[in-house]
Amino acid sequence: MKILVCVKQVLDLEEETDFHIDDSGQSMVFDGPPVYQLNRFDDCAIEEALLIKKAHTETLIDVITVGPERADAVLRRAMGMGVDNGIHIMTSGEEIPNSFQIATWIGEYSKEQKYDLIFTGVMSEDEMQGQVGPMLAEVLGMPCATSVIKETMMEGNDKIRVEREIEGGYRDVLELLMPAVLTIQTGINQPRYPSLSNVLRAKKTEVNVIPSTTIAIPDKRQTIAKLNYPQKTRSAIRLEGSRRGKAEALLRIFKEKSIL
Amino acid sequence: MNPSILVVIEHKNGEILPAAWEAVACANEISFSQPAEIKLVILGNDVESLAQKTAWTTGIDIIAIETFEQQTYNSEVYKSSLAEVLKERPFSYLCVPGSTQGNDFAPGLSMRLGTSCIAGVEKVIPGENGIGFLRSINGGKINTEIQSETASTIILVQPGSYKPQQIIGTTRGNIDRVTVDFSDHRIKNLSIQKTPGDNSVITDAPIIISAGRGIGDEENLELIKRFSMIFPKSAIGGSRPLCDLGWLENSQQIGITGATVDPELYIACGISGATQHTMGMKGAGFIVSINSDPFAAIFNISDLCIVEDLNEFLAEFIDVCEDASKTG
Repeated sequence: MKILVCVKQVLDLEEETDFHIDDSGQSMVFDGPPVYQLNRFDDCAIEEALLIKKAHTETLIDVITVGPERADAVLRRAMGMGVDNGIHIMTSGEEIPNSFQIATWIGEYSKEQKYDLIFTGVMSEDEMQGQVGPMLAEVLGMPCATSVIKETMMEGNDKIRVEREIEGGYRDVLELLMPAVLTIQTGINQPRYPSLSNVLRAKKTEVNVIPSTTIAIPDKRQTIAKLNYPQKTRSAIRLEGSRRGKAEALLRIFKEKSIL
Repeated sequence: MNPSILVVIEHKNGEILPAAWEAVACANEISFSQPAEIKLVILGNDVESLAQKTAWTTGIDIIAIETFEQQTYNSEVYKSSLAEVLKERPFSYLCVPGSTQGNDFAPGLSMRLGTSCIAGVEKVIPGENGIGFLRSINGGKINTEIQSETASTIILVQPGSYKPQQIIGTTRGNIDRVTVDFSDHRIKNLSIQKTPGDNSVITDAPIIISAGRGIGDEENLELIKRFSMIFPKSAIGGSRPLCDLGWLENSQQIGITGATVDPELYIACGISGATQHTMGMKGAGFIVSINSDPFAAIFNISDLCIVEDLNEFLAEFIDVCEDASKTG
C-alpha cells in the first residue's frame, strides 16, 4: 500500500514573536526571527499513516509539502517520525500560494504515483481554510472525507471505514472506496516524537525537490486584497501594575459585580 | 441585474438549521454591495414539503433538488447534484454554511464548477475594486480580506459570525424543482452515532473557568481547579488541544467542534483566541482573559485583559483571596 501525507510548515503561534502589517497593508513583518513548525493537524495525519504502516508492514509512506526552502524542516521531521520519502514542491517564498494552487500542484505530482490513501490535516493553523484535502480529491477524482476522527481499513484493503466528527457531538460513519483522501482531525491519536535513528536516517535521505515553476502554475482565482487587525469587540480594559496589584484589582471587580 | 446570490440551506429532520439563516444574512450583506436576487437551494431526499413551507414563509425563490435514494448527507451526491444544477443556473455567489457539511463538499464543488472558494468568511467588506471577504488567520491575530477573481464564487460562512436572519415574506416564492439521480457508490453512509459524554455541566454553568494550551503542563490543571473553587457554581472547560491531549474530557471542550456556551462570566486562562474557540464562547456576559502574550487574539473579545504568566497570576489571585478572607 502507498500513502501520501500532505503537510505544511506554519508559524508557531505559541511563540511570542510579534508581527505587524507593513505599510502596503498586504504582508506581515516580523519583529524578531519567526519560528516555524509542522502544522499540528498534519502531525496527526502523519501519525495515522504510521499506525497503518505498523499494521500493514508493506506500506510505503511519502510526505509532500509546498513551500519555500525552509519548509524542508517539516519533511525531515516527518521522516524522523518514520515516513519513507519526502517530496518538496519548492516555491520562491515571495508569494504565498493559496489552497487551490497547492491542491493543483500536489495533484499534478501525485497523478502518476498511484497512492491508495492520501492524508492531510483537517486545516492549517495559519490559514485555517481546510480546502487542500477536498480540492486535491477532485483533482485526482477520489472520494474524500473531512474531519476524520477514526479510520479502519476494511478487509481486502480496498475500502476504508471512517468516522467524521460533525456538530452536536455526533459522528458520521462512512465507508469510502479507495483510493481516497482523508483530512485528519486532532484527537485521533497522540503523534510520536521523531526517533534518533530515524532522524539520523532522515538527514542522509535525499528529498525529491521539484521547483514549482516546473509545474504549470494554476491561476490564483482569488487575491489577498488587504490585511488588517481584528477590531476589539469589547472594552478590553487592561489591568496595570504589579502582579499583586492586578490580582487585587480583579478581586475588587468581582466583588463589585457581586460575583464573589 | 447581476446573477443571483444563492444560499445552500442546511436542514435536519425537516427543520432549517440556524447556520443556514446565518448564511442568508451573509448573502444579504453581499447584496447590499452588489444588488442581486437571493435564492435558496434546498437539497435532499423528499424536500418538497420543506421547499414549499420555506417558499411560503420567506417569499424567496427556491431551487429544490430532490435526491431520492440519498437520505443523509453524502459529499459525492452533493457535489454531483449541485454541479449539474448550478451549471445551468448562473450565480455570482453561492453562500454555504461553514459547517462540517459545508466544509466537506464546498471546496470540491468549486473545483467542479471552476470557481474560487473562500472559507471561514466572517464579514463582507464593500470596496471600490470589488467585494472583500474578511477571514481570520494566524490564530485570530490578523484578518485578511480576500477578493475573488472568478465570475462565480463559493463563500463558506463561518458559523457564529452572523446573526441568523430568518426572513418573513408577504408573497410566495417560486419553486424551481429539479430531480437528480446520483446514487453514489464511492461513499456509503453507514450510520450517525452519538459520541459518548454529556456536556450539560459546562453549558449550564453560570461561570466557566476555561483552560488553554497556555497552562503549559498537565499538572497545572491542579491550579485551575483550585482557582475554580473560589467561584461557586463554576465549571471547568477548555480548548480543543487540551481535550486532544486527554487532559480534559471531550465533554469539556468549548468551541466550534465542542460546546457553545454563554455563561455570565468566562475566564479564559492561557487561551490564544483562535476562531475555532471564540465562536463557542464570544456570547458570554463578561469575559476575563489571562495570557502572557500581550498580542493574544483573545484580548480583542475580552472585557478585562490581564497580561501575566498564567500560573503565577492564578497562584497570586488565590493568595489575595485567602488574605482577603482572613481580614474579611
